[in-house]
Formats: sequence, C-alpha cells, structure tokens
Amino acid sequence: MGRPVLPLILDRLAVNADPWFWALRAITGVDPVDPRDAGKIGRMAEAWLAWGREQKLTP
Amino acid sequence: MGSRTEADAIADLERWFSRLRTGTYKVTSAYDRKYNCAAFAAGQTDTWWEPAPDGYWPPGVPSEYTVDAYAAAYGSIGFVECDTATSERGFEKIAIYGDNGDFVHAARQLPSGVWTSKLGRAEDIEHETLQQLEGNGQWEYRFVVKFMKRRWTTKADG
Repeated sequence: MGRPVLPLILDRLAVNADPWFWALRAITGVDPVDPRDAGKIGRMAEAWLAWGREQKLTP
Repeated sequence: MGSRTEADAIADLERWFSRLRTGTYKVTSAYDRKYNCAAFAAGQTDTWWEPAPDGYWPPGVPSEYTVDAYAAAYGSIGFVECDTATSERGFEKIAIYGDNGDFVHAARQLPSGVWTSKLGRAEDIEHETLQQLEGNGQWEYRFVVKFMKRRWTTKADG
C-alpha cells in the first residue's frame, strides 16, 4: 500500500465522495483541504481531486 | 430510497441492529454520505462532524473521539447535560452512545418524543426507543451513556 493506491482512492472519491481523507493525508503527508471547508464532504473531495490532477495521479 | 430500495435498507438495518424490531421505527431519508450521526444530532444535514481535520469540529473543543469531547461539541451549540431521556416540553434532547469513554453515536429527540438517528453513512431513521440501537454486535452502538438538552430554537417548540 502507499502511493500506488492513491489513484484508486481518488477514483473512488470522485464517484461517491466517501470520506477517505484520513487515508489520503496519511499516505501523502499533505492536506489540500481549506480548513474552512472541513466537514463539507463535497468540497473536501473536490480539493483532493484537484490535488490529484496537479500530481498527475488522475486525468 | 436513493441509492438502494427501502426493502434493501430495512434488511440491512435489521441485520446490523438486532434490537431494532423491539420497537417501532421507520426509514426517513435516503442513504447520504454528506453528513454523519454527530452532525444529524446537531440538526445539520450538510456537514460531517468529526474531530479536525476529518470533518467540521467546533472551535475550542478537543479533537478527540471521546464522549466528553463530543459532549463539549454539543455544548458549544447550547446543549447541557441532563439526567434522563424523558421528553420535556420546550426542550430538545440528544443521547450519546459510548463505549469505554469513546463516542460511538448520537441520537436526537423529536418533539413527539420519538428519536431520530443517522446510521453511519446510511439512512436516517425514527425510532421509538434508544435501546433499539444498543448492543454489542459489530455495528451496534453499545449503550447510551449521556443525555443533553437545550431549549427548542424553532417553531417546533413543544
């Protein structure tokens, strides 16, 4: 496990916004979510998906 | 019922909660991942309440998964501890389920005296008693350990 699973987690996040944020933070060591969006699952997912695109982990 | 039929939801719920059928209950919402039981008990259905940074957490409240921290979170929106689940005119109540000091679930009392709960990421239900969700099974919420109340702030005043 580790970074190789990131695309899978991000794909799942894109489909159903399951709160995988703790796993993403643990694997990547970063948190792209604006603290003001904490608890807003859709916005938290969008922040991670944008991060994934920047990292070229997802299309 | 959103992503699954009501029949499927009921089958799952009755498998997860062995005491559910000891009282009346009904499914009142679709499956929804946008909010959790802690938020729902606080009256919110657009936010996931969880100690920071995994969700919204009231400022100044310890980021811990303990009954005491969750009680403090509810305290930040006006709830104070009380002794019983008995319905009191003019007050809404919440019940906190815990396991050895750890928070497990919260339910909210409706003006009718019936309780309502968001079951994890699954459906909301109305349930006649708090005991219907108690138990030591894998998905059951252990036992109610704390009650809190605040004055109704809406037209639903009892």
